[in-house]
Amino acid sequence: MIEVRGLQKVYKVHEREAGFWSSVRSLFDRKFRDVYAVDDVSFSIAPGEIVGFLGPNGAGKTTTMKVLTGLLHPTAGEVQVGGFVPHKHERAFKRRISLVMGQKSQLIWDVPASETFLVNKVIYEIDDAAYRRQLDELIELLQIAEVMQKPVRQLSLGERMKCELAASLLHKPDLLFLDEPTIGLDVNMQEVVREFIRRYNRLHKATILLTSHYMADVAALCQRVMVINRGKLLYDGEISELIERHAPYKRLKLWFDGGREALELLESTLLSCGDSGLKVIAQTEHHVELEVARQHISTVSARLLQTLAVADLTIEDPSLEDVISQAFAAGVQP
Amino acid sequence: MNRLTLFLNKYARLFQVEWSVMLAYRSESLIWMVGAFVQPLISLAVWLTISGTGSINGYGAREYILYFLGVLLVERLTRSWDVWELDQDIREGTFSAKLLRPFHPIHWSVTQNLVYKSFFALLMVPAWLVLGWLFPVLSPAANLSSVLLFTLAIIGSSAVRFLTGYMFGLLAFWTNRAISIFLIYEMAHLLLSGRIAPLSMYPDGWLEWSLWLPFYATVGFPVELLSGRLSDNPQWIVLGFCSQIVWIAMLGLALRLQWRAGLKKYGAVGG
Repeated sequence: MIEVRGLQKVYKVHEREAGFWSSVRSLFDRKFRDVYAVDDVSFSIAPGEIVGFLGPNGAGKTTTMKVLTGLLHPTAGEVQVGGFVPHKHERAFKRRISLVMGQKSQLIWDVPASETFLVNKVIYEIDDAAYRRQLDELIELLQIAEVMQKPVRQLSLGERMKCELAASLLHKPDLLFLDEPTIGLDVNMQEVVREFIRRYNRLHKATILLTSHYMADVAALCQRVMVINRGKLLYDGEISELIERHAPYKRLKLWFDGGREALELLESTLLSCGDSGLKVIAQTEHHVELEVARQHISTVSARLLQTLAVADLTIEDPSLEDVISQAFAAGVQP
Repeated sequence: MNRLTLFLNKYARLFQVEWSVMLAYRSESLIWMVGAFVQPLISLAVWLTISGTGSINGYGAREYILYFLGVLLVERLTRSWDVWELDQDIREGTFSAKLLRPFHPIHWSVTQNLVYKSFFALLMVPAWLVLGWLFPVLSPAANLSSVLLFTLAIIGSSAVRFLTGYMFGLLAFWTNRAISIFLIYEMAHLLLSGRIAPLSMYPDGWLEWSLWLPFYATVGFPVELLSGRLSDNPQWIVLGFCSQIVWIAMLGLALRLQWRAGLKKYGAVGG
């Protein structure tokens, strides 16, 4: 559904230092620098897939999305989306896609969101019955019945995002690009939107590319992730494999009945597990937090349970945030 | 539904929305309208002072008053402000939302122009009719055919000025000085279109030059059609309309080329 080969996007950036004299100098001697926002990126996405796009700010996620939706012309490389070349701006292509940007609005600012919906109805040539059906469904799922009658400029960020999603989905695009769709939403609403995206994907067999700062979005929705940094695609594959590769440990938290004896026991037990890739992250009199290599987690926990009077014990995967930052620190390889 | 109906539906809907937006800013729209009266009124005052009780080149007090009232109306009904909107939209990336939809962004600007210009016409034309009825000196010696020709000329002039303004606005794809560049053009337009004085008062040859450029045909020509000055000069009427048509065709073509080149430069900032 989406085919990208050797995509490159280079911006020419005018450079000058701060201050009056450098601004005068730059009138006569302009210096430019090439910034490789996306550099030699290739991937393909199958129909109906949801793919998470991860990377720090300025990594090239949004630039890639803008190329995929035709807003930007690629400097080099080939891009095909749903059989179209996006930057040719064909109407048939635009009817099939939607780009939702958390930071940018497609809603008309001074009138209620319902007016934008009506504009999209005629622009996307949606017939009355289909429009009514789709709108009713969106109103119910996103709970926007009242919100959509208020002028957009009076909406909160969360309310606006919901209307933004509704406006983008009225024409039932089968290619959906979501750039930070849950930004500014409270935890409940994030969950609602997540569930909504999952349902939309299932119902309409839509192909979805998603970026988010909330790892929970990505972890909940995507089996496959692409990690990008400084314009380079660093990883493309299953989330589980990324976690295994860059976080080959689990977090073990243990609460026990304290006292000097217990602490000594703990110390000797930990020493006896010395070859288990074990690391103490935090420790108090009644509590210890450990990082343990995956293959040793059962031995280590069994031994701790045997020797200590354990009050509680939890074993968790590291958070996706940790995995990603570890991955960046290690310089992940695709 | 056939394609034309679908297309007209889009226009009708956009017209309604832009109308609501304008009403949300009704006081700003009024101030904006009245603000544009200043320049023609100053020119009028200057010429009335210079001509005194006599006349210059066939223009006495009454002719000046009628001429500048005409300028005031034509200016308001044909002026293009799209460069400001486009410059902001393109520089800040809000243009993306329109570009992503399967309807050319120019249609949004066209409907916006239609909305504001009909609003101005609804206020200004009846106001002039009442004034002309109260003070006969203010009523132009217009007949049905000159009013019809005037209306056609207003439409032509709007199209020329819209296309010019839109092209200057699209310069924002390349530079963040689009507005400044447009203002230089507007200076030339002010001088050569008949906005500060009737072009017939200019030295010989200026009028001809202005006719070949997109100036006289956009202001001087419709105003003189309305005031009846061209009624004994049918070849000037033909020339005026020809100038409009040729400019619309050339600008339309140039705009297409510029659009294609500009999209490659679009930075789609933000997001």
